[in-house]
Amino acid sequence: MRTVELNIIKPDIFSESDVSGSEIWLKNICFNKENTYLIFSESGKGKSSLFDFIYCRRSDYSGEILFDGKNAKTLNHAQKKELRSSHISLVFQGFRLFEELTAIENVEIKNRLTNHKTKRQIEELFEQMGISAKINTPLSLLSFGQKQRVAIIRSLCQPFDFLLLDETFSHLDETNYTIACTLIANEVKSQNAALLVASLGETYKFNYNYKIQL
Amino acid sequence: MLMWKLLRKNLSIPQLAGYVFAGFIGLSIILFGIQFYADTKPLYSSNDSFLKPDFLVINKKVSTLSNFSLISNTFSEKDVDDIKQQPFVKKIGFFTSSKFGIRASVSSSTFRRFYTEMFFESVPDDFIDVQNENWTWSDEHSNIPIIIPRTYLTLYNFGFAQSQGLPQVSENLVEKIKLTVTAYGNGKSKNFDAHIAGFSDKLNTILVPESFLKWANVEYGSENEKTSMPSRILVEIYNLSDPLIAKYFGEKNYEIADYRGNTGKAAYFLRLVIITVLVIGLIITLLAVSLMLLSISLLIYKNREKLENMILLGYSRSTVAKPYQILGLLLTVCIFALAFVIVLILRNFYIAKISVLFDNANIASSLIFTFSSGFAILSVICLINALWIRKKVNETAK
Repeated sequence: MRTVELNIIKPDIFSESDVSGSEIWLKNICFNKENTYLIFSESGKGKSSLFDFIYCRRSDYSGEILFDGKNAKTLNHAQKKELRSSHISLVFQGFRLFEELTAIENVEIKNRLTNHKTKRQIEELFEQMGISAKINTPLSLLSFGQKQRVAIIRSLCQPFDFLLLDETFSHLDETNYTIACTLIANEVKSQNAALLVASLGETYKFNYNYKIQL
Repeated sequence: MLMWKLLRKNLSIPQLAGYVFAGFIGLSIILFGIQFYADTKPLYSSNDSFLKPDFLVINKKVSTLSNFSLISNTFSEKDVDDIKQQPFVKKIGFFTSSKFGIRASVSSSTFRRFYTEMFFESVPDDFIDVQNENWTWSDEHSNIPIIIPRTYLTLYNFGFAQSQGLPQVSENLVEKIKLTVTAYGNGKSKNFDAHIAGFSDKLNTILVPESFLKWANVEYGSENEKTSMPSRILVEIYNLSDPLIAKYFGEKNYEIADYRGNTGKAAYFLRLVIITVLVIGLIITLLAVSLMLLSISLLIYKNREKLENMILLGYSRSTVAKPYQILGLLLTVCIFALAFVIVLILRNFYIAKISVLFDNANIASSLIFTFSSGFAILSVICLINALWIRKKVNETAK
């Protein structure tokens, strides 16, 4: 997949005045592979909604989202499964991790879909992120920041053309998010993928091609 | 394994145990009912394979007066002509009796040698199913087929054999016994080979082919035996449900032989009981299945967030539904196995009695029948279960 095109989309819950001044809502915009985008706005402007729309989790919007020209609303279950396991990776704001599983099991349950990384590579990611001691700890015993790092690792364990980060570094200190950014940037580069970072204004350690106000 | 670890969360062991228990009870009852029906089936289906179905045996009612010969209990020629005139009568036939001495003897490894004086009767071949090739007698050297009343065998098995410590025998076994019939009279005697060719509920007499009896009556019959009028008549009927039949014979004070008698009523009630048992078993099974469906719905509802997350990670709906479907399948197979074992155990309690009376071959095949019925029920339950789970997963994760 090379492009994600947004054609005059707007969440149903927003009125037209709600989205005035936005460079995305009710505009035409195209995200291309190999570019890095910062999408910033204050809270409540619909960053998570936008990512949910692109990830095909929700479809309560007007306008159309096109993947290489194909309308997102027309995808069937099998195509959505393919989209999520091989083309778009998303780090959810709420993580959507499984409390019953250990940290590494949470990553493996994603990785086994495509066997993108070896067990060794996953363990290295845990090491680089500084949570190798927690690798076999049940997720319910991890801190918020640790969970955030597990979610990041999980998002890297699949092939993708677009990586979406939804306020992913909110609970990490500068040292930790710098490490995380490096790992993410390397993976994005090696996969020739696009990176979309949603933030409240913070830019973190990425080199953006575009900064877009939502 | 990872998926199972995740999705087994909120699994209620008591609920599933409840399903297994209730399903086990229900399915056991159904399978036992089917098995019992199959094992006792000869009771309902035994019929006079040699005799045509649509005829009646009638006789005059025997009263005290007839003992003193004030009223004859034989049919006069006028009576016979009158019956022939009736619109529902297709044709009538008479019994031919043997007019010579007969002695039948048996010798085999199973039985002590014994012999008995007896008599034969015959009816016109029109009343016998002539397509049956076993019912023929051509010359002095051929084997004589004999039809005896089924009640004789019952009498032997349950009365005589049990009290005398003799073995009980099945109909098939009896048909294999070689008999020797000695006909004597007229200063001559001769031995014939004979065998039991069938059993009859309708005719309380010992039947041989008419051709044999006619020949033997001439050969050995005493000259001075005079031809008397018959006391019993065979009447072939166009339509057995014709209401005129009962009306006419009632007016004439004739009796129609009640050929099914108490056996027929007992079989009817037995069948009724089995059907009732099957319905109860079916209801219990249905309740058990609803319990499982409800339990799995609840499980899926409680785990809906996990299911949605799995699907958002890129798992397909069928993959997510599979662990639950396999769970349902395993439990149901478990129930089926338990129920089948218990049916086999229960069956041992009555089978010894039954196998004496019926064919061993029938019993072997009827076990397969029960197994396949159980398997069919199992498949239906698993199919319902699988579709239901798929539906619930689809409802849970949009």
